[in-house]
Amino acid sequence: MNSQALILMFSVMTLVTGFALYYIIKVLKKK
Amino acid sequence: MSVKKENWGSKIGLVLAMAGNAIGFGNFLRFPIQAIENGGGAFIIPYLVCFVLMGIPLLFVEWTIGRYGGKFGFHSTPFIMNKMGRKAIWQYIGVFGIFSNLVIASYYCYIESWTLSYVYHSIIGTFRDLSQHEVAALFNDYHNTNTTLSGIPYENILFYLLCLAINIYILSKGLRGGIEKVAIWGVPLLIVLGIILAIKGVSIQEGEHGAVVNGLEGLNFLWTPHYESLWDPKVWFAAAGQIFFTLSVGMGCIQCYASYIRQNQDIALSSLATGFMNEFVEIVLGGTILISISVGFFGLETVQSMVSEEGGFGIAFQTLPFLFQKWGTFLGAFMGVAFFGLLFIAGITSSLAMCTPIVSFLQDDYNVQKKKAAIITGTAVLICGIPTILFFKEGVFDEYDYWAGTASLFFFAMMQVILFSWVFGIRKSWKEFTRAADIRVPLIFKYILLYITPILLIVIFLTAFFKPAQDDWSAISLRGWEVDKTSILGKIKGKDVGPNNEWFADTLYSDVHGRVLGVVQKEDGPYLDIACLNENCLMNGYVKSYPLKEEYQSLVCKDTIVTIGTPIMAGSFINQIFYISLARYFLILLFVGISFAVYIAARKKYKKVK
Repeated sequence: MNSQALILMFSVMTLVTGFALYYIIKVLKKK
Repeated sequence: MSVKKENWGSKIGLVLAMAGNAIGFGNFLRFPIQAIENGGGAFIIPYLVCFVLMGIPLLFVEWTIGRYGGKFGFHSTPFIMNKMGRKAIWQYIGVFGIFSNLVIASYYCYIESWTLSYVYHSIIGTFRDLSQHEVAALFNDYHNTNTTLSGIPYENILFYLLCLAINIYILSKGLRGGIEKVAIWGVPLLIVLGIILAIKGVSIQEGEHGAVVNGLEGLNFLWTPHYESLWDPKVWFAAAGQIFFTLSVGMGCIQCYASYIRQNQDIALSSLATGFMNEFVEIVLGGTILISISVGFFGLETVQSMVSEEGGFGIAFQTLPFLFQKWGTFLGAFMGVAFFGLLFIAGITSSLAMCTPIVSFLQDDYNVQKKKAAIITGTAVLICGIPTILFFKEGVFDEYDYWAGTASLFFFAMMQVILFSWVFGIRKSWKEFTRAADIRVPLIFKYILLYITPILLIVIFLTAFFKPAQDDWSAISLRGWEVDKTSILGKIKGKDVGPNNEWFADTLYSDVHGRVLGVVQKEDGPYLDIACLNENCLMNGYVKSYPLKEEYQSLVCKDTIVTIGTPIMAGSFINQIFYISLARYFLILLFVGISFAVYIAARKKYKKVK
């Protein structure tokens, strides 16, 4: 994979997964 | 006024049901294609900007409208919007929240039934030993009610009815006993299946099981950024459109689900959780599965032409079942079940959300019992959906999708934001939204909701109305421009109709420029095939087939070059425009009918209040 694509993909996927997990965990905690 | 006691059983149940509503076919089949066609990795920039400026604010608006309506026992948009707007016009704008759901559910359940059928065929091994061409033919024949390769008579109708029956059964179990249970089991299962498929896709190794390149090449293809595309307005509108469809906003189902939230329960955190969960499924899983598998087995060039010619649905239904077989009998069948099972779960959790506003409307305003309301809803969906199955090839499906699944959504979303920010008032709306919130929402969103989101939505609606021909934005000038045939104005003007523009005719005209290939015998009879010779290379090689019935007479011979409007057959023809016009009249009639039902219900309500 070319480095530009890899960096972009990795950062976007990490960002989105991070936010999704953060909010879901928060929902589960506030149950 | 009867205030309904039904509520969501748990917060996580609500979040999963809302996420299930948002996660649909678009996450897996539309997103990767949109990204590839609009700048690859660079597409993610306008996409995320639109998510923050339009997607998240629209989620806030729809959740707030819903919970506010629930306070008064309202669960469908006509009465909620009337309560907020305090004018009868809002009640009829709210009708879109029932109309769109009914129409979209009718053809969405049909797609859902394809996935169910493909799960069945993956299990029984229908695709085993078939060539790619035969797998593609199986999908084309699926829409012919009389002929199927699988040997099941009326297969498409049977699976459609089965899908509807499953939907009705779950709806009849209610919110907690049906929809919430399906979401609690279905959405995590969907994510697990998605993760398995994504891992399998990216781990494809060149040379193994006939793979041409590594699966990672597919991700390289999708994510390589073409930053110059960011200056093209088309890319920004494509990103905005994708955000719209993926979040299921502008339909009225989020409001309905949100109306069952307890008044002391948060909506700010829950709406963000569903929004980001949907984005995870779309970007991480949807962006990986389809492209890595198809590029791995077919190579980049073939997939590039598939993307422009077949789109996501074509690759999924015409190509992937063939590719899964390369993993061997057992694993191939498992991957088929996993992929189409995943699509089925994505579909059913969305179709349930679409049917709920109709069930709620019947329960609230016509005192129909839950089970009966579910059956009536299912019957209404069936009545609306049958034309899309019987006249699929005549364009009825696409017509429904355009008016109810695109134009209505843009209009309804725009009106909702205006109602929220400007009619109900941003001060009251923001107070309502942040009431009982479990997180602090940045105040900047108040101003985004007040100015940026309404402006964006007005621009998007106007663009959908006046889009320039061939998406050429440089053609726009103060002296006017030619609108695209897919724009709302272009559709109203009939720009997409072509030379066969009469309902009934004695002559059939070619609607492509190309070379006549001759008469070709197919499963369901002879066809006159014309290979397109358009200058546009995307259309080159595309073969347009015209059914040549016994009573028709061909007016052209093999190798004749025809242009758009050249007479090619004589006989007695019913043109596609006939079916399309009937579909349009039917949709108008349906909208008027629902408005009338809302009017009667409103009269009853106000009499009771007096």
